[in-house]
Amino acid sequence: MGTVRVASSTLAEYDPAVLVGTTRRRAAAGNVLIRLEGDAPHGRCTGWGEALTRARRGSGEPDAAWRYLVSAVRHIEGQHLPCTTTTEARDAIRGLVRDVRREVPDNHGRIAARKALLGIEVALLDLVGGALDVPVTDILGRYTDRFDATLVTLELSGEVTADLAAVHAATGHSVDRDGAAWWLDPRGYLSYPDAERLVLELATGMSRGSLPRRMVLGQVLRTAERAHLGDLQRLADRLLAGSEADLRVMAGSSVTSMRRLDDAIGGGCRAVQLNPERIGGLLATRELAEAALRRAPDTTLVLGGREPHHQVTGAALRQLAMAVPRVDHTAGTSVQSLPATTGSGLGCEVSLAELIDAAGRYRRRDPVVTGTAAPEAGNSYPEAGYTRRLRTLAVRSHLVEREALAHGLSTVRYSQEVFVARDGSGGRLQFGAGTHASLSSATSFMVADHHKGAAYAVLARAGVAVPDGQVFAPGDLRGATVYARSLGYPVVVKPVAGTGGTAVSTGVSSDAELAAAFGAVHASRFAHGDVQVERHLPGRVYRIVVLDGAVVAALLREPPSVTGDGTLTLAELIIASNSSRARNPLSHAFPLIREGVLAHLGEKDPSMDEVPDKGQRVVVGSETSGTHGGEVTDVLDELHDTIAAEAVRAVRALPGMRFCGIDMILEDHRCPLPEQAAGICELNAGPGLLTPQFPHAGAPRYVARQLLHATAREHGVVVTAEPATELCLALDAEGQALGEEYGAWLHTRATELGLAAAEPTCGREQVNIRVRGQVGPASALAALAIGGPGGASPRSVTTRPVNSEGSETGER
Amino acid sequence: MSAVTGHGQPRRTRSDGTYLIEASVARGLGFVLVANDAVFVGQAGGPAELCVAQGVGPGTTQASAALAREPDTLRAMLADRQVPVPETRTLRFSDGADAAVAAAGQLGYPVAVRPVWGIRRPDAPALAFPADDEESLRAALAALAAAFDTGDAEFERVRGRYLVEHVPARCETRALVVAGRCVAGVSRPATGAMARDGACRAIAPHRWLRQVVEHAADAVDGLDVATVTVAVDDPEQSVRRQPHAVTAIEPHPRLGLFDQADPGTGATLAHAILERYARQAGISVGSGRAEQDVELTIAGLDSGRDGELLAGAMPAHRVVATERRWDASGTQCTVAVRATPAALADLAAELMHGSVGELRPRFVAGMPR
Repeated sequence: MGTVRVASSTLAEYDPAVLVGTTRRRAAAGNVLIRLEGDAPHGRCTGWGEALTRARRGSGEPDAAWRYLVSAVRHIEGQHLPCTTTTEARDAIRGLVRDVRREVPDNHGRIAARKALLGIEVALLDLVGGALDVPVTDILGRYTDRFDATLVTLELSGEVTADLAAVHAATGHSVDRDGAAWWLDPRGYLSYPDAERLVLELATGMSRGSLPRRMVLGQVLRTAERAHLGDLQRLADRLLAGSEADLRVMAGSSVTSMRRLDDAIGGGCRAVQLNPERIGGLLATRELAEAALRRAPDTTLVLGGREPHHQVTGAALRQLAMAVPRVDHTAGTSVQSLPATTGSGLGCEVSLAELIDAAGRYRRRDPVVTGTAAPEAGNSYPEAGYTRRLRTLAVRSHLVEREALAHGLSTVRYSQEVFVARDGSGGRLQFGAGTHASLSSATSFMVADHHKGAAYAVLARAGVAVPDGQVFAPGDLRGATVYARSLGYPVVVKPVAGTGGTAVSTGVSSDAELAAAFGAVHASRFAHGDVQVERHLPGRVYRIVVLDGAVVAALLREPPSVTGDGTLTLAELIIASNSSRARNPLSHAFPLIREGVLAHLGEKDPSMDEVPDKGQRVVVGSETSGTHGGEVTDVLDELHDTIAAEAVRAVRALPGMRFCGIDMILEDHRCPLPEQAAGICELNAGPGLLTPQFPHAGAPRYVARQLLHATAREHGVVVTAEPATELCLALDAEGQALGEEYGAWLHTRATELGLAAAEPTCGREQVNIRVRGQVGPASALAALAIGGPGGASPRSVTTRPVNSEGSETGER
Repeated sequence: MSAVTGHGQPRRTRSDGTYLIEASVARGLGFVLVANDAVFVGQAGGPAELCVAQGVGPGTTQASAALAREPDTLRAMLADRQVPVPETRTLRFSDGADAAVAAAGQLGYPVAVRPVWGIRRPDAPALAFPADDEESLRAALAALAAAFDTGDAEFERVRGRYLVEHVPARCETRALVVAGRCVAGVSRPATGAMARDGACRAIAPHRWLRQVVEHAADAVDGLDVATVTVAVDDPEQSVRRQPHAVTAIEPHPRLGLFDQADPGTGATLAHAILERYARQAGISVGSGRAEQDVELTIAGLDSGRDGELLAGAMPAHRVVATERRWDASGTQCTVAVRATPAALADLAAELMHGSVGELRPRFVAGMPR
């Protein structure tokens, strides 16, 4: 029949907890679904596998597994697998997996890589199964046509007294059921004395007849203490000698190789649990199962670890269960309830659409066609790795503080949004909440941001084009209706003091919609202020940032969208977009949600499994503000001079305004202003810094750096010409109730940020720590430190650049 | 809004912007009043123009104004610069009332509870509640929590945190600092519920209190004009012999407060402040005049609907209109008037702030003729 060539690979990380509905919040990392697409003699075929890399957050395991997966699938891509017979295919897969296994690192990523290996092998088996049109069981080597679990499962908590009570309660009504065997599956490990006690109590109950006669106790000791499992088995056997009862002690997670299997069975264990994710594949698990039953045919055999979250792993376990000589149980009720497979491969249909809300990182390579990975769905930034730990408003402040520290200044932070930067000559730069620097006057902010009616009046006086509009009292819907009719629908309704697009209604086209728009204002936090009603200008929304008479950023703001490549489904395009969003500090908190996308598409195109045409843009949301999930594209280099000049003129209309974000409606930013309908619809005296620095497309503009330089110039504070990329920093936190706990908390945060941190010096009201690392995470520690753990009340955090010997560098 | 003056006479509270328009008109300058009490002041035909919003002038930076809205942050910064501030504890409502009682026990009564952030809403209730003992503290905390329990995001900004603050005195003094110098002061009982409407009296702050006030204003960079609030029992005696602490700094002059305590003071201070602002903006000011001829322009009207309302508003404010004309679009009316600066300022404020019928002008401008 020839061969199947691996043509493309897809890795889609997802959070199992979101998938099963135990949480709505996406974790940073989870399992990874692997899809291999191959060219077989009869056409395209697909293989699915799952890398069970879910692990404790912050353990580094998911990242190690991801790196390993990326390198492993790269090795597999382009490989030809013979698919004439199942034996030939199995040997080829075994060889390929062996090659990939050689790349498993020896360090802490070893276990993660093994978990990843399982997914790769299953995907290969599924792929070849499809090519051969046989179930995976047949490739593994079928022993049976059906599998039935024979054990009744009871989870143990690891607390002996409570567990004993639970066992009695759960088994009491079935003691008399002949043949019913119980698997007591511990979710935690015990100390050896506690394990001894548990065995003793169980054996006593079983011999007295108050517990079932057949029980299997899952691995209760840590892997390091596995040698004592045999001791427990001998204890059970001794206690039950002469009785019909049978208590088996299981070797479980520790059995990952033939040597450890020999140790377990040779040591006396009469039950074995083989977990493919720890062993690193179905083929290796099957070999261990055969060996176990060969050495001790009476051994109780359980396959699998935890309940599989995805059907791919459930199906793989079931296929494996029919490919071993005998199996008593598989972990997970979902596996046992699966129907007998008669189709090819794993026999399950997979749609990535179900993963949209749970998906994390995504990577697709199509080396046969493009020779490279598919282009990212948007820019990604390393800052996303640590900015997610800060509140959104704190990130803006952090960006400026980062520049201050990188340019040789020291800082004193008073809140997550307020800090002062200092040089060594007494020069000070004060930065308030948001991006309120000591640059523009307070009055410019009060006019521009506190009352749109005031801002429009000022702009109109200066001859700058603004939409026709009028301000109304919040209760004056009647007056607003008369005005809107005279102006002509559609209109825009917004609170005069609103920010961030809150309660703004655009395209209001009727009296009823106007009433609804007023209702939206009443329901918002701006309910008590006046309402602006203005003409709706057609066109696209741009944010233009002006600093000291020059345009420093120009951004096109659009609703979120995906662009088809002719092969990926809409669901997959959204997952790819979310993968990029997760690595963008601007949008990591705003993933595209399945429900939201469907609601937006409405009747237009609700199918997530459809494949948009190549180049087709599908708009999947309505929010245009970059800080609320919209997409921003840097267009500074294309901005027409006449538009830039108008923006500068608008800022000059407000005395004291030096730094401003202007929201402008334009038809095309590349065309001269007089040749298009245009207008300024908002001034922002404290424009966001994330939007220009982290656009989804186009070049990042380091406005925070320019703001620092302009403010420093204004106040005669000298900064270094070039920013440092690495910093040694001394952080001194002062406040109430700090002490050892705060110091330990700070040290942990520093380590999590990837910083080299010295042991902190801790006092009740003062804690000092020295850290070294990349300028971003190092300076972010100051923003974290001012928050502190619950109970601590840091009043200020002073951060000073020091050299590696510890002497000051920041203050001259 | 009305208040009771030191003489017991009800009087309408004027905004800072209105005082500054009065001073500008008196000194021969033109003005443009837009919404949010923002006034642009300049010479007729001159390029220089200064902007005053709610009394805040061009020399006050965004950063300093933002800082003034965050009492806890402000105090941390003041403490760093050796300005006496009340001792406080930051707590969460979820900590329960017992935590507040324990904090008060450490700080010593009397105390006040207040949010960690200033509330920007103009109709916000007095959000510092005083307490002399445990019972009144529990009541104060309940009152504060009730004020938060409005579902209003403006309150939610404080994220459930509040301050328990030691109150070192039974009276508080508000002192006006212009360009680093303390130029006026008023005193009134206690903090908290009295903060908005309490009767106040004009005082001459003791020189050491003036030093404290000036040092506090100087500690916040970029605060050109400020009202500094100090808790002190007798502001006319040396603060070295009595407990005192700076509890707040605002970028607004609050001229109405000083005028209530001593009628006429508001206008006098407004002249001093205008001179300061004008000097910063490079605008020369004339000498004061009792009556002015001004061309008043009101934009954003409807000639068919608003003409009568406008005509009626003039005599009500003792403003004599000699000539009136509408522009071609019928949305802008220019009136030649003669009036005292105070009457003209009050008329402009009433027109702009929607107190005359349903007039909602875009701006009201006055140019000396």
